[in-house]
Amino acid sequence: MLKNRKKGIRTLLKNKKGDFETSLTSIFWLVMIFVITIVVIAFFLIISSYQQNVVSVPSELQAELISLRFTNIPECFAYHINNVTQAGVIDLQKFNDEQMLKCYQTENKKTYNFRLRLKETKREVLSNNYRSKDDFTIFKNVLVRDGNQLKKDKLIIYVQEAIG
Amino acid sequence: MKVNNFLGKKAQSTVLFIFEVLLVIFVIVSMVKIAKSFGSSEQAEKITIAEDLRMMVNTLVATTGDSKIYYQKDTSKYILRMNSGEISVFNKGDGRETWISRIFYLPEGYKAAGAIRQESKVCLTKQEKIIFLQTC
Repeated sequence: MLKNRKKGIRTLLKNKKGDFETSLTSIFWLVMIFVITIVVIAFFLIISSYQQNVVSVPSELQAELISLRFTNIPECFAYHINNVTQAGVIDLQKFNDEQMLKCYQTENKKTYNFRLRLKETKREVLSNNYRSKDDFTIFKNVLVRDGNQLKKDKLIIYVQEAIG
Repeated sequence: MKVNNFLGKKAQSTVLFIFEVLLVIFVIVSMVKIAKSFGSSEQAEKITIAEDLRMMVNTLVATTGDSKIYYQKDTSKYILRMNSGEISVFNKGDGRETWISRIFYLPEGYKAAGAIRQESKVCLTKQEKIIFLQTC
């Protein structure tokens, strides 16, 4: 009777030790799977950002190319008379937000938006998704046509990069 | 606990060893796959072509009169598609979600169009207010 009881206690202790080892192994693998997942995600993000850096075009260049249109074509602010467009000459009559909508209208704020300011004439126009966040500025020397008058001015282009 | 009932200690360690080996293989294969897909020049090349063409469209918009730009890069591996709002670069058989697309905004009255299937020489032409993507 006593022998049987001792044997039972030994078996129980052995089983408890086995259970303890199994739970330790489970916890180890849970932690390992978590760590491996984090490592794979981090690896993915690092490579992704590296690739973006390699192929990205400088924002200044992109904004400069978009902003060429403001002073060069009649659909924007360039002076146009007798079927001749005078590139670099801004028609003050057209320098307003309505014309800006015809020239450059964006669907959302996740792209370049602009605030144009004529320094001497003190006139300003905004693109439709401009949110007063100037990231950098482009300067252009222009002529401003105001009726019969033609005067020198400086066009300051405030560029807002993608928001959100 | 159930494993204890069904398998001996030796069998357990063998199962664990196989599991470890499989896990290591899975991690190595997935990392190599990720690195390969991102590092492949094809993905970067598609992005470069799309960015280049977008910049060319923006430049053409700002030119008065008609003009034509020859694109020097070889595009024979890809399909290029352009409409009035975006330019897309992709491979034959690619799903829409894997296309590389770049958005642009044209002034009122302007249009852009064109599609090219695996041609090596590409041109962007501006005629009045229409920009065409075509073979040279």
